[in-house]
Amino acid sequence: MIAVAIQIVGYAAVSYYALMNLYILGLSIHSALVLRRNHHLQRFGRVREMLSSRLAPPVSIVLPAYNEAAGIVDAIRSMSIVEYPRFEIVVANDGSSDDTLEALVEAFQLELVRIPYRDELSTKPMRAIYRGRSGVDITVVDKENGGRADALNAGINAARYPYVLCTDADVVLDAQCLVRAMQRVVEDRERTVGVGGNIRPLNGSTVELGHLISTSVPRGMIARMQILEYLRTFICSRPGWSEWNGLPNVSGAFGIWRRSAVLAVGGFSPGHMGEDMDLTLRMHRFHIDNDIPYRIVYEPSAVIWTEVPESARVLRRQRIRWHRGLMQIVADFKSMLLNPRYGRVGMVTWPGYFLFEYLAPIIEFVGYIVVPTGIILNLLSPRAIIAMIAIAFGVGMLNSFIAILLDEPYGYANSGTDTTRLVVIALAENFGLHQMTVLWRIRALLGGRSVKVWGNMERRGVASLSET
Amino acid sequence: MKRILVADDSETVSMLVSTALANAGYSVTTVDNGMAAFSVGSEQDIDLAIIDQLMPGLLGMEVLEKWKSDGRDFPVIMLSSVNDETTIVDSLRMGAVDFVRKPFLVKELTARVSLALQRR
Amino acid sequence: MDGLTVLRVAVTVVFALNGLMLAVILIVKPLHRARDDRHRRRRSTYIALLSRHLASNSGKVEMGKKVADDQAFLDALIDLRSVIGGEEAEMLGDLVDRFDIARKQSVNLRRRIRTDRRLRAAVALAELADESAAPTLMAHLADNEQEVRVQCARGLGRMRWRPAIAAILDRFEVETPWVRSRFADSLVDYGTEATWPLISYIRVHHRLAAPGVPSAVRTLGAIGDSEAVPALLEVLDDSTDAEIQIAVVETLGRIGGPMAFDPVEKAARSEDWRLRAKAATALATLGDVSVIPTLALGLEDENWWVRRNSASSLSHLPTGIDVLYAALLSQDRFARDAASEALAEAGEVLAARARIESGRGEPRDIHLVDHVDKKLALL
Repeated sequence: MIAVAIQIVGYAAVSYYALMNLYILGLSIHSALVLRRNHHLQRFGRVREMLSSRLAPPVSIVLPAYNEAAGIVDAIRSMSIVEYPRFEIVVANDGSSDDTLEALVEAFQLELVRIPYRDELSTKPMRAIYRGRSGVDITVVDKENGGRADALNAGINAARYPYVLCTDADVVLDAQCLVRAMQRVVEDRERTVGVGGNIRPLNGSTVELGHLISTSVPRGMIARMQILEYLRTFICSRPGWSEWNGLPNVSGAFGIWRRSAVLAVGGFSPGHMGEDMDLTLRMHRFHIDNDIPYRIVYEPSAVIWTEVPESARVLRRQRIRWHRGLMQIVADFKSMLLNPRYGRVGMVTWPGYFLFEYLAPIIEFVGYIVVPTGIILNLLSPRAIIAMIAIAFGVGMLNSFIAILLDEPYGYANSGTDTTRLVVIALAENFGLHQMTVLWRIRALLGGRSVKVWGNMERRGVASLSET
Repeated sequence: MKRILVADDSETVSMLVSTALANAGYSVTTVDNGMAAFSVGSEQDIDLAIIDQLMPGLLGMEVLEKWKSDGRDFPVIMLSSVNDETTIVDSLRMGAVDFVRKPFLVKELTARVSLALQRR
Repeated sequence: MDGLTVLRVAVTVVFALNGLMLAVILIVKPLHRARDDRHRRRRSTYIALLSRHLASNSGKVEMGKKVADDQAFLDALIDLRSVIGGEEAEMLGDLVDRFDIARKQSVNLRRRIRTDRRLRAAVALAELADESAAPTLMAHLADNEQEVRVQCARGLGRMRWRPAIAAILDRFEVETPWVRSRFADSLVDYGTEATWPLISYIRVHHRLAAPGVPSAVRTLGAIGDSEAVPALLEVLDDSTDAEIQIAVVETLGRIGGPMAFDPVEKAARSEDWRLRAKAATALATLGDVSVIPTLALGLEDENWWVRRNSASSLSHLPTGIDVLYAALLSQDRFARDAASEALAEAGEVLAARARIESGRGEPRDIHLVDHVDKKLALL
């Protein structure tokens, strides 16, 4: 009996792996078609017109800041020259213990203003509000520490405009990212409640005073692996999901939301480890439950750059946090799984996520135990197993290659060596790097508070990134 | 030969302005960001600067401010696509000798440059 | 065939595909990169060339005929046009004629197959705004590709090509709201030439409550021609459609003028809160001290938007600020809130605090500051 079980589980685990990659392949092909179709629109886009326009709604850029004294001023400066007719910047100082607030006050000549603040979303107590007197339209909300989601909520409370761009202080925005993302809003103003952007790892690139000068693939394997991961998500999955109005996640690093919609669903969830995906799914659920026509889209040409962990240690914390967040989300949104009421989110994209992201580590882990055991006990045919694994690897590589091929440089030329480096990672990724993330996610599932997951990113400051 | 610094992040504008000025007999240096503009203006011997209001790094006005506080006294012409009056007034108050809006006439810009140089 | 053979075949297929992809990547990507580099370099060269052309007084050009076929040349031309103005822009226009660019792009526009080329041509023609292309642009106002249609309308607007006005208006009903708003935008470029065609359109379609009518009304507002006011007043009287009425009130507010005053005031007392809210905003531009009583009433309206707009309008009128201060003493809590928020937006809170601190504080300043502090304390 056990023998049969081992056989079933063994083959199932290996086919799961192959299936997962085949699913992604399907998504990739769909996304590739979507990207191609919209490509010409992006290139000859109507950016110039939007910029001069009566057509562009004002946007509040909201960002939380916690102990960012080193880079916050440069970050805000570079955001302030984003190409967009009318916007403001709202910084929520989340009870920083360093000089973040002082740095802001000095750089932007902030003045304490005591104006009515409507706390439509409840947050940790507010201490003060500041407005800038210099050229930059900036508001700083000083509050007690409450975490990223709480800080964003406070920022949203203070935001004046009908749309909010939720982002982070360590993100480098492309000059046109806002106008390109907002184009998706104005082309269907009634229905569009959210737009997600294209996030690219910054590591290895040269940044000066918050501006990207040139890009290249970083040195470390860990960072390179992430580049490939990000490429796969943003090229192979999101365009297709967006087309189906099934986007399960609008990333926290760049998410434009209609402010009234955020208020209606109660804002971000404080303390949640995956607050961006949590909000996105809540948006889907709210609008469907209330029969409100809506759409949440992904805009590939709205590009932003952010630092990703370079060391295994920091990456591990991040992945454990992400998986914990996913666990919370699975608990909260179980009812949407395979529920036809929720359209493509419920029937395709969320179940896909559940099956291939959430369950993945469990199934793979079981596979690592059962398969070798089965082979040793002669219950599983080594040739068949190897063939299936080879198929899974092969399809996985195909996905990576598709991502590399379709990747647009977005104004920053990638050298030939860079492409080769990515190709090498595509080949090598499945031999160790991927397995490492599986183990970390198992650790997350096993729970326990002993793992410190937030910590600081050990941000070395973007200036030193160019030294790698 | 008079030396002129042109600072604008748009390649089109830099090229246009520097070609026109070179044609008019000036020696032109171009940069595409605020920090570079500031260092060239502080360290090198220039006779006039044309700077764009919106540049990566430091804004045109900030560069102007820093030059003034360092005691650099060459004339500065601000170039901008921003349309509001406060910016114009502020730059003039900060010490710019002239303010040119985009779109502009190249010949007019050249004339203003020569006027500003004569006035010194 | 047994399972193992199937698997083996599958493995071979997968790896063959991988090999193919690898080859494609290693060949295609460098090719694209080289092509983009060349395009960028040519564009820079053309910008330099054109700059010299513009700077030189003789207006002589040493450019071969071949440049006209080069997309990089066109890109350089378009870029320069966005930066220079006046007669120098006309010099570039002469180049467009000389190299027959408009005609060539028109040909591209007429191609059926490659949408990206057509779109590129439409954008180029819209940017160049060369009249010789007008007939082609008119013909493509009904193109299959939405963005091509929009660019055609845009180009025609920029050249103020009269015959296109009717054609653009004809499409108001069939286009989606987004496209319609961009069509409407191109009509604004015509200025007052578009006033009467818009008015005719509105007169004909408003009884059917056609969806394009509010857009047409707002376009009149953007154009700002006071000649439109009598017609708008007729429509306001006649129409029963709320969307149209709202658009008219908004537009009357934008255009202004004495004739608009009574109807807007009447709208401020309408049953529909949206009309009241729009009227409250419009009254600020029409204002005159006589609007103040109506706005003061608006502060006590049951709808938040009406209160907010009334307060905001008051803050923009000279004696309105006094009314807002007075409203701080009102029995109505909502009126007090609306007043204090508008005063805050207008910078009065800071000013009041400053006055108090320098010893020149008046009783009303103290009221305002107290009110605001109380609200903050509740947070």
